[in-house]
Amino acid sequence: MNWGHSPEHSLHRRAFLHGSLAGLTTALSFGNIGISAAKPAAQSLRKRGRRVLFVWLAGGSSQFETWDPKPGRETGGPFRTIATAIPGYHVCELMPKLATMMRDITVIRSLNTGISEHEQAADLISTGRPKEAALDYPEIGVVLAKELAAKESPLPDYISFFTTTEGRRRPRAGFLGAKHAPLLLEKSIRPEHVTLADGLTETRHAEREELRALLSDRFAENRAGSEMVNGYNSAFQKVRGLMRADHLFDLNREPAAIRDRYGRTPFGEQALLARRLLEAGVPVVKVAKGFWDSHHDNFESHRELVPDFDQVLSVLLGDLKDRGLLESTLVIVLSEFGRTPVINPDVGRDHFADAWSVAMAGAGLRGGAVYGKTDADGKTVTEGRANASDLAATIYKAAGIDPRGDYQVGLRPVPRAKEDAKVIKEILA
Amino acid sequence: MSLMEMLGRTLLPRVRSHNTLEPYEHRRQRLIGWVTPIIIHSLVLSRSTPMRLASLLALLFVTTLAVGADAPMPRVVLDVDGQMERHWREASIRPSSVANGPELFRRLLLDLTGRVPTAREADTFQLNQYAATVRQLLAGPEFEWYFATVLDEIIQGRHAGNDAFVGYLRKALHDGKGWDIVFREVMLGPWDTDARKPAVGFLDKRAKDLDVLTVDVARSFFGVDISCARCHDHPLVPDWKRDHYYGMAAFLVRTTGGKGSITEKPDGEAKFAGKDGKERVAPMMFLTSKVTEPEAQAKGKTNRREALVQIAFNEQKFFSRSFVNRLWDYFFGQGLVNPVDQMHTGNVASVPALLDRIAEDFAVTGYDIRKLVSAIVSSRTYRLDNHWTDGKLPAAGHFAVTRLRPLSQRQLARSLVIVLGDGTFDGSPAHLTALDKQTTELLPALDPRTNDFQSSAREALFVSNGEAMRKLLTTGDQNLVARLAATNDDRDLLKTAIRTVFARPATASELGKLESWLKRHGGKRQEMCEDLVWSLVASAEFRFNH
Repeated sequence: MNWGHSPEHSLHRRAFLHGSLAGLTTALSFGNIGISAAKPAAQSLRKRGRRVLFVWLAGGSSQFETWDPKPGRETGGPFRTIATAIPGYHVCELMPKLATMMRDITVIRSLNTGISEHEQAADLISTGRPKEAALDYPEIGVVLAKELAAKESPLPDYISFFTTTEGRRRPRAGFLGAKHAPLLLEKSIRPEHVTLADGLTETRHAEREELRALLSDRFAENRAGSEMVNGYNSAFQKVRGLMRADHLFDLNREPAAIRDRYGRTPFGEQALLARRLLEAGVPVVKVAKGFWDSHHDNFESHRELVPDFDQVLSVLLGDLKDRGLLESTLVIVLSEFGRTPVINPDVGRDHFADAWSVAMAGAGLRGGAVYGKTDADGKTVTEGRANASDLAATIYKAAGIDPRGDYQVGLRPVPRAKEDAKVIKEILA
Repeated sequence: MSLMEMLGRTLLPRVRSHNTLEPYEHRRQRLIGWVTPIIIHSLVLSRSTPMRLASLLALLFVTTLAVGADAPMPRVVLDVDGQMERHWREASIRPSSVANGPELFRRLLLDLTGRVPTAREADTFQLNQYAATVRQLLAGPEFEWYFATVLDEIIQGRHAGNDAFVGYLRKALHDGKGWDIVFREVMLGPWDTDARKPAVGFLDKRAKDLDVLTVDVARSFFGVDISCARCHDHPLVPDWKRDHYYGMAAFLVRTTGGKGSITEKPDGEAKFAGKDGKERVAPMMFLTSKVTEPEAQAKGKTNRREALVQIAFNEQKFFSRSFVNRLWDYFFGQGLVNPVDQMHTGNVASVPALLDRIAEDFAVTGYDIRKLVSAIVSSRTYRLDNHWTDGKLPAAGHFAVTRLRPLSQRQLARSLVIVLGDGTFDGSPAHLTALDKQTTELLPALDPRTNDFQSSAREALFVSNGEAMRKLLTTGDQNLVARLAATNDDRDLLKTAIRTVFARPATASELGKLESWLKRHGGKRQEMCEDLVWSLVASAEFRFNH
């Protein structure tokens, strides 16, 4: 059906529709990237923009039981340390696999972020700014999604998983608006509303969308503010892409051996899905692993959590590297804060933001760099002190985005990273 | 309105303490202005002696009234068009023509009652009865029910949606409380009766954080964002110094409590480190730099919020302008000052004289919310068409053409339920309560209305494939799809569908095209109607206000 005002548009829509129907039966591609699991596509990816994967350890993981152990000290806890691929740098013995991969990993041990309450700290770390009553800042991931978005991509710019119950947070799009808000995967690792409703066929679904778009285009003619209709229509154009991409979320399409390597845990499955999405061209993905808030029995819980983290992250980094994706993908492991040097009477560690660590890998980074130091007991930062804004600016820089760029919010130019943020150049490639 | 009614209303004073010109005084003057010529007319023209005598007596009565009035004769209250037309002339802009009846009616209903018209309402509306329709809507229960949620968003911002607070606002609108009374009750109470108690909800949400409280009071009631001035003099706005931030905080620093109980501490000061590094105690200073001396307050008998309310009324400019601008933003998709929380000398109104004039008149009417709403929606500016074919579109700040506005989550959800339902919705309280229940599932799936609106794939996915949407389309043997499927004639079917969903008659050309679309569909009649109706409700014509 053509209302006679825009044959090109209509033709294009038909081609699109045709393609989508054909897509049901054939293997799909996005851009030039094959998405079959076995075939890495490093060459074309390298040319394309960078991607970012956030690994959020909800609740606050302990730096002592991971990246900044203090063996033999009163604050050190029961675990030993092991040597890593970087001479002289030791990590907690619970991370044997990551230890061997340290040449690909970058650690900051000198974060002092000040806030040790979950919600506020999570806001601070994920936006890289102290909260401001009047301006709703977007999360770093949302900023990256906006900046790294591929034009005309049928896929979302940001997909955020969060299926654990603890500390579930929805990334805030803030002043960047709904268009850049992530697609949330909260209830399952497949997106909501991507399958046909009961009784509807693919053809009907496509045909009614065609009618909807034509009615909308016709309505918009000569209307003041019709650019909003364009935005509305382009949101609907994503629908078919997302429905077509449904198979991306289907882990059964991965070889069993790969699924076993990642592990059939929620975190392992999220990580494997993240790789599939990054590979297919989603620029920003966030996965999460919960239950790190160890006020009681810190060592028991870390004995359980860290090996799973070690397993999954090492497999993920190895997989990304094998596929030639690691050099274009920035991987960042974040928490709200670290945990106290003092071990409390419940054999737990409490919230601690004064001296803690994060790990990163991949794009834009100097692999093997270990930045900053804490004192012998891990109570204060003694070298390379960095705050949440510095971390955010460093993330932007590593992702290839200027931290000094501005967004115009109403009348106010708002810099991407906080004005006084310092990029940690020492860890950048 | 009969003359007796008018006299009755005119002479019924409302108790008010802070207005320079009290409303009954104002009404009296207006009455004099309009009755006197009639009396003189009949005095001159009447031939019978008793009639002349009566007219003479009437003139005498009116003169006594007039002698008592010492204020100047009033101007036309709340006139939008005069200023606007002058502005267009000066800017050499020819505004668009006035919108057609169905489009205007839909716009009006969405704005005043938060939903689209039913097919029945759309059928009976007559453009020449627009003024009467506005009056009816403003007097009806649906306006109070819905418009309270609009006020809730203005006051509560991100904390909007508390049932008790919305309930308070509904009652306030029902009782005809002015914006000034609402402000006073929100800031000071008394939070004594069941009706007034929920008004504490604004302070309650913010009392534990002085910065949030200070910033939100300034934003919600005075249209300014002074948050930058907390740490330094505002870099872009010379109006806002740290003195203003801490001056405003000084009014609120003694406010304490939460969980429904707000009290005033006996002491406490807003302090900040000056440039010399020394700590300074901030005086209570309003945004206009007007200071309230502490000794002006009787010790222990009053609280600092009382001083804030008083000074806000005395320095009326911010209080009145801010609300007028917020409502303007609501009705036009952009404030006269834009953004709405940036009212300062560096960011003047796009039609400056208009905002000042309406704001003054709004204060004179006793901050009567209905009158302000009525003045806005009755104006030619509001009634302008959404189409622009005359070359380059004038900047939005000229308001020379109606712009598309996205429906809010609430407007969209309620409209979907109404048009897809069984067609019996009549705006009765029972239907309104039921509507709230039916929309709870839809609301969070839809995109919120913002000035910089962008549609998300999330909403599009929900509308395309969501189970709640499917249910709305397919459930019930009297819902829209079922009624259409039972219609034998395709043309009748299409006419009903368009009338119900778009609240307008179908055009001949679209009937023709849609008819051939139906013929090509090939599915069962029920499925065909489902697909047609989905396309209509998911189209831009339904998603936006125009």
